[in-house]
Amino acid sequence: MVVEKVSLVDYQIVKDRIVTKVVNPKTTQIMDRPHTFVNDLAVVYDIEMFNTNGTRASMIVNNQLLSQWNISVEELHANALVSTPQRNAYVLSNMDDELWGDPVNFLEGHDYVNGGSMLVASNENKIFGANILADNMMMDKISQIINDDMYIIPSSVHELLILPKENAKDFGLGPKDLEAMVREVNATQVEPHERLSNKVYEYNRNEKEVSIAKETNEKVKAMER
Amino acid sequence: MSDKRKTELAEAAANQKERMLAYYNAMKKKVVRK
Repeated sequence: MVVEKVSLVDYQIVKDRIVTKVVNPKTTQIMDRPHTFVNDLAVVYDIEMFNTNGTRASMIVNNQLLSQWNISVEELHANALVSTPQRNAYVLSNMDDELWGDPVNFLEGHDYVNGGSMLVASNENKIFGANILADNMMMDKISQIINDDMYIIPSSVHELLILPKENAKDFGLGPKDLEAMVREVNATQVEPHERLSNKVYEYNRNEKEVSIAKETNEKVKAMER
Repeated sequence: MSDKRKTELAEAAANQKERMLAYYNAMKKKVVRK
């Protein structure tokens, strides 16, 4: 494989290669790296060399490099939000289609069909696709597509699971139930170095921000039906 | 809440968990992540 040489200290040359990565600051050292918090998770930045066929090579952006570039974290973040989907487009699909069928990307104009289950938000390569969480405009777009508020389950660094709140209500599932599910899935199916969080988050269309999901009365309502 | 409703909800929750487990298990085999 031929890897193109790039000058890391020249920001103009590498800026189109800078991508976001969402990590858990409790398990990943971020103090020597420029970072931006999304609630209690952190967005860090990589210079991506290549990302094909399930193999990815990258270098981390650290504070020293940022200093050499002479740009702010805000500028780095804004730039990375643009270049990230250009290098590896975001994908939103039904989880059942990912498992059994032919998944379509609802972010590319395919009509959304509520499959009655969860959705997967990631990228085309399914590598570090949980970084879609860093892009609040994408979170808003997803909520607009599903026309609902949503629970966000970032169990793995590679994808988010999205559960429309209407579906959660139908299943009688609240944040505590989902959190118990996430803990089991993480413990049994997700490699330790790929785990992102055992928590469940939510996105509310009115507040337009990601927050840790709070137990609501939705479960109570479901039980009363 | 009726016993029928309790059973329905328990089955729905179990079904969602099974799908999540299946998804992550499938992804481990489908994608080599380095």
